[in-house]
Amino acid sequence: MKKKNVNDIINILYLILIILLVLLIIFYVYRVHTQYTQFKSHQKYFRQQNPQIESWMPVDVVVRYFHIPPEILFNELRISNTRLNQRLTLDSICKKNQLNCTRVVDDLNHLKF
Amino acid sequence: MVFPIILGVNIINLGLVLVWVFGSSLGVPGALFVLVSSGALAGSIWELMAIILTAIIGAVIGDIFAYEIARKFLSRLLIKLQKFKFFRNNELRARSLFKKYAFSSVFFTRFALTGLGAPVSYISGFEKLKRRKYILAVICGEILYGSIYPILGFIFKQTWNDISSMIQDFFIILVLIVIVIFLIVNYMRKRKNKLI
Repeated sequence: MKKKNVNDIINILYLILIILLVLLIIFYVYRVHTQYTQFKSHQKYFRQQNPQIESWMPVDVVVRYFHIPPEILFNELRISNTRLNQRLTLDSICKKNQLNCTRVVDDLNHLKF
Repeated sequence: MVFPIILGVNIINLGLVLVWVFGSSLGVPGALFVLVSSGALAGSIWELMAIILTAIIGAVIGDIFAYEIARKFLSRLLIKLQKFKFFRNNELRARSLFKKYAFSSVFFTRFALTGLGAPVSYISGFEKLKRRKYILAVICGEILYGSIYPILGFIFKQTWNDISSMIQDFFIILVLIVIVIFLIVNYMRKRKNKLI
């Protein structure tokens, strides 16, 4: 009788574990779906006629795609020109340096060549 | 300041990849981000090849280093851990399970579940997994790791930032699905045996 009870508890725990893992899968699938949608919209953004600089773009993309000289860009963002800083998005740099991102992006859009 | 250029790549860029990938083998996070972005920064195929080669070399050396550290120094910890009853009870089972799946776990954690790469390297050294077996799994896995991520960055130049987090989550989903299938099959088998 006692053994049967223990088995039942193990079975319930097993099922709970499976349900939790399934919920975790659903969470990750949702996250990947959101990321994929964002990725697609960003790709589409670059295919349009005259794309503007946006806050979600990493620094290296702004430099290469919009031909903004790195010195000017780094000066505008008040960061040093390091390999790691080149990989950060404008958004994250603005947050870190407490800059008004809309104003920074506007300025950069006026600077682009 | 002008730094020497190798195959059209600034040596500082290669150094960053090498140091970061080496560090990731010991448990430092963020190497995947550096790899994808380095691929995106590459201006030519030669540059990409140099990054891939550097990443593979750095990762393999880092993995072997982590394994040797664990093999040499952490084995002393085993004697202390064996004093605990819970450790003694589960040690044999865990060991046999790890030895059974050693190659595949080392191989997959190199490129798929990269967050588990360092712990698996330490466990491999700790468990004194055969050197030849470990190095073979490491080389196979790191060739994939060092190539997949920079190539993805190179292909999706403008949107590399979105790609890096998406790949990680994708591999986590795959592993979770495998675990759930394993648990369900195991559960069904147990129930069937009980009914018979």
